[in-house]
Amino acid sequence: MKDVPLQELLESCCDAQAARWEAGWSEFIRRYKRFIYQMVARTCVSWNAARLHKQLSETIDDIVSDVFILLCENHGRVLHGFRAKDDERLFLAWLATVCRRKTSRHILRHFSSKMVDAEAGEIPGIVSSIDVERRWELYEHLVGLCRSSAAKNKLFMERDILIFFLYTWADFSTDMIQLLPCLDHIGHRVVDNTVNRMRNSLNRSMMKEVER
Amino acid sequence: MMNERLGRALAVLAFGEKRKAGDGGAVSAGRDETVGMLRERLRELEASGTEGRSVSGLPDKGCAQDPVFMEENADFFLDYLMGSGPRHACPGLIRHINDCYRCFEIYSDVMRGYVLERGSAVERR
Repeated sequence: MKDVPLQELLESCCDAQAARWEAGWSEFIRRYKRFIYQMVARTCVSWNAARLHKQLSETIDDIVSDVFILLCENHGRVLHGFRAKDDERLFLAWLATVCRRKTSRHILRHFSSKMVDAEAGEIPGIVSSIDVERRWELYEHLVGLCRSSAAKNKLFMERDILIFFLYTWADFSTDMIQLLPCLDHIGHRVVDNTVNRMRNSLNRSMMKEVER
Repeated sequence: MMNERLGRALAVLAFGEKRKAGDGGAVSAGRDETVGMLRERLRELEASGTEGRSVSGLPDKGCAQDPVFMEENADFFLDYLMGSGPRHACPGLIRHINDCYRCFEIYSDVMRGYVLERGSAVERR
């Protein structure tokens, strides 16, 4: 299959017939594995992901496997969704986006669980270990998880999210939070209770995310 | 750091006046200058009746463009901490901070300076 055009190659990778499928994927790996590896590695480095517990190369290998699983599963449903099959440059741009998304999701999940497990005082250190240009992505991801987990109790949801982030991410003490004009009416134990509740909800949301 | 300094100057403006006669040397010349500028700006806002209006420009969701809403926006913090209107805007403000990471960073830096300076001002009284 060495010289087959892109369209034919992608069709083979989505083919249910075993022989064609195998030949297609071995050619796909020959052509694109290096590119996928490079895209994943580049995204990991941009997150400063070397600070992940495992070695950077192990993290990259895990994510590259995830990318291949995503492309392979359900008879190549994701590959099948790519339309411009006659344009290799567009295909590479699309593949790069798939790699970046998968890598960011993997790293966001890692840092989210690290933040939920960490003591409040350790969290600013975790945040500062992430590249400045990437921190907002983790912030938005966590705010999204907080909102989805608090769907049943929306009354104080936004207030609770702010308290949680001020206490954990920005390292404010309970007393400091109670001096803020928008939060000066809250009772003494509200901060502790809110932070614990948010942690539990985040944990539940993350479990659901992994199950999906 | 610049945002934290703004927060400290706002606290001096709000709470530091009483200690100034006995403790004036502790406040640096740079901060005195900032406090002076903020005091002047607060007077202007009060005189023009625009006090409380600076939060009206708060985006519904996250800030879509640079500079973000809170960046170098001393008017907003003057209103928020010393005006009468902005407290009513708290739910919208909190929602915005949760939606906009850059504003969360600025808000937490300014407020850190403000509450730390306010705490030490209260302690010294």
